[in-house]
Amino acid sequence: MAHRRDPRFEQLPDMAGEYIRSVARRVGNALRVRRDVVQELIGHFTDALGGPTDPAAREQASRRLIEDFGDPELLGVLIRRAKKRCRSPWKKAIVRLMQGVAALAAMWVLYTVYLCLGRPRISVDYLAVLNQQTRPKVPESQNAWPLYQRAMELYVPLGPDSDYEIVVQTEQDSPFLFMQVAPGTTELVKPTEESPWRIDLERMPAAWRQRLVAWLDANRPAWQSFVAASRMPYCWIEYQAPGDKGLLYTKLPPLNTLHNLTRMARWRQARSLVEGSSAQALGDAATVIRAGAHLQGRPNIVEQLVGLSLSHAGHESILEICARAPLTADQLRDAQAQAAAAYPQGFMMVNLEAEWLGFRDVVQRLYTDGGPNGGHLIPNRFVAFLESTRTEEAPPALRALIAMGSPMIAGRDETLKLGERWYQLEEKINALSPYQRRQQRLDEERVAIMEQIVRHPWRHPLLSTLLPSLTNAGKLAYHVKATHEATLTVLALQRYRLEHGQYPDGLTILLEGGYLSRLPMDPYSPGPLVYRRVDGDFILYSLGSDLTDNGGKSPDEFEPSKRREPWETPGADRVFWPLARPLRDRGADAR
Amino acid sequence: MRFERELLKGIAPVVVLEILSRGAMYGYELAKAVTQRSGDVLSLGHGTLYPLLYNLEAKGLATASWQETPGQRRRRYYRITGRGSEYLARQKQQWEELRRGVDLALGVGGLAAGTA
Repeated sequence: MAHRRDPRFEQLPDMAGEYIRSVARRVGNALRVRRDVVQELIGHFTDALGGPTDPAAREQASRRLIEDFGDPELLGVLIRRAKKRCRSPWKKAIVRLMQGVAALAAMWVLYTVYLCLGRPRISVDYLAVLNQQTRPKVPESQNAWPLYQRAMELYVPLGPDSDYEIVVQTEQDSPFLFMQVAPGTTELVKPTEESPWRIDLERMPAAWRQRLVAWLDANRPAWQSFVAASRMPYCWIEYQAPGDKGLLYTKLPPLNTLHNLTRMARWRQARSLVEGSSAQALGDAATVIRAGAHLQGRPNIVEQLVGLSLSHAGHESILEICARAPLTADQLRDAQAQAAAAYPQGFMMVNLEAEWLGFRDVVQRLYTDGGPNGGHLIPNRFVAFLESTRTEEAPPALRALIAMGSPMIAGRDETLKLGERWYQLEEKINALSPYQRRQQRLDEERVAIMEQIVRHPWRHPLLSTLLPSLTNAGKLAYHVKATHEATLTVLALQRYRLEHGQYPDGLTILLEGGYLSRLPMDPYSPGPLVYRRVDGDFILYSLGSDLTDNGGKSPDEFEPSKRREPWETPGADRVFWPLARPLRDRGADAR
Repeated sequence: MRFERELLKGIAPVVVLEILSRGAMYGYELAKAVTQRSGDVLSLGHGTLYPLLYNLEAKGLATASWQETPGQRRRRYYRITGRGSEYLARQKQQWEELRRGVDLALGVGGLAAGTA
C-alpha cells in the first residue's frame, strides 16, 4: 500500500494511521484510486494535526478528527461507491462485463460440480443380452469353440517365441515364410517386390524344409482339432468382461493363434502339393474357409474381420491349388461343394449388433439416468473411460477441460439418438455393395453426421471417441464375398472344361448346366464378374474401385510404385483368374 | 447550531460548489472554508467531505488534480467545472425562490403571508 511508503504516515499518531488503513481496506477499487484516497486522507490528517506537537495533544486531536470522520468502514464504503461513479462509461461497462463473466463462471463451476457428482444407473446387462442373443438353442456338444481352443492350446509355434523369430537363426539371407532377414543381420525387414516373401517348398534349402516338415508334423494334433472344430455346425463363445466393466471391455479369444493355424495351413497345402496330394490340400483350404465362416458369424466386429481374413485365405488357397495342380472332376466338385457349404444361408456380411449394444452399454455407464435431456455425461467417469481406451492417464489439463466443458455436452437422449442414427446408417451402408453405396450416396449422409460430431467435438465427445468407421468392414466383406463366388465359379469352369474340352462362352451356360447355382456378382458394378475365354484359358475379374472395365489388366502389370491394393489400383481390375505370377518367380527374376 | 440532517443534506453540494467557484481548494481547506464563510453556521462533517467531493467529480460538476506547490506538499485540488457552474446557478436560483417563499410563509423580513 502507498501509505506504507509515505513518510507522513510515520508522523501521524498510531490511531490515525490505523483509521486510514481501515478506510483503505474498504475502498477497494484499483490500486491507483486507493493510493489517491489514502494520500488525501494522510494529507487531511497532517493538515488537521499540524498545530500541536505534544504527542498527547496530537492523540487528542486525532481522536476528535476520527470521531468527526465517523465509522471507517462506512466512510470506506461511501468513498468506494463515489469512486466507482467516477469511472468512465467504458470502464464501468468493462467492470460490469467482468462481473457478469465472473458470475457466469461461478455458476459454471457449480454446475460442473453438480455434473461430477452424478451417478449412473446400470439397468441393463448388455453382456448377458449379447450372450443370450448369440447362443444358439442347441446342446453345448455342437459348439465348435472348445475344439478351436484345444487347437490353439496344442499349436506349436515355429520359433522359440513366435512364428517369425525362427528366421533369425538362419545363416542364410534368403527369405523364409513371410519375412526376410537382412543379410548378415538378425533384423527382420519387410518384404519388397524384389525379394520374394512366399517361398516355394521345392526351392527351399533342405535344412529348412526339414525343419518346416517337422513343425508341420508336430502340429498334427492341433490341426486335427482345428479340422474337427470347423466341421461343427455352430460356434459360439460366452463373452466375459473383467469386474463389472461392461460390454466394451469384453475379453476376446486369442485370435492371433487362429491366424497362425491358417498360415500353417498354407504350408500344409504346399507340402501336400509337393507330395502329390491335391485332395489333402483342397481339404485343408476348405477347413480354413469353414473356420472363417464360423468367426464371421460371431457378433464382435473384430472376430468377424478375422473370419473374413481366414475365409479369404482359404479361397485364395483353392485358386492357387487349381493353378498349380491338375485336379479331377470329383476333386473340383468336392471343393466347390465344401466351399459353398461353409455358407449355407449365403455369404455372411458384417453385423454391427454387438457394436450397437456396446455403445448403449457405455452410455448407461457414463450418463445419469433421468432428468433434463434424459441424463448428463458424468465427466470423471468419461475421463476414466478415455484412460481405459488409451491405456494411459489423462493429463490434468485434459481432465480439467473435460470437467469444465461438461455443461456443453449433449444429453443422454440426444447422444443415444445420434448414435442410433449412426449405427443404422452403418448397417445400411454395410449391406450395400461398394457400387450400390456410390449410387445411393449414403456416404454423404454419413459424412453429414460425422460433420455434426466433428464440428462440435465438445458436444459429442463420446460419439467422437467411440464411433469408428465401420464402412470399410462392409467393403471388405464384399471383397471376400466376390472372392468366394469367384472361387466357386473357377471350380465350376474347370469342371466344365474337363467335361466339354473347353471353357464355356459365357457364365450363364454354367447356370444352365447346373455347374453353378448363381452368377458371381461384381461388387463394383451392377452385374456379374466379367468373364471371357482367352487363348484356351479364361479371364475372370471385377472392375475394381475405379468402376472401369480395364480389359482385365492386373495391378501386377503396373510398375511397383503405381500399384495399390488389388481392388484399389486405378486403371487396373481385380483379376481372380489367371492368378498373378507368383511373387517368388518375380523375385527370382529380380535375383 | 445543529440543523436537521435532511435539511443540510441537499444544500451541502451547493455550498461546496459555491466556495469552489471562487477558487480551487483542497479537501481540508474546503472544510474550513465552509465553516468560515457560513459564519460558523454550517459545518461540513469530515466523514461527508470526501464522499461529497468524489460524487461531484463523478457527476462532472467538479474536477480534481494533484498539484505540487513550491515549499508545500502535494495536494489534490478541486475546481468547479462549467457544468458545475451551470448547476450552481440553477440551484442558487431555486434556493432564492425557496427562501423568498419560506420568508413569506413565515413572515420573516417584513413580508408577511398574504400581504405581498
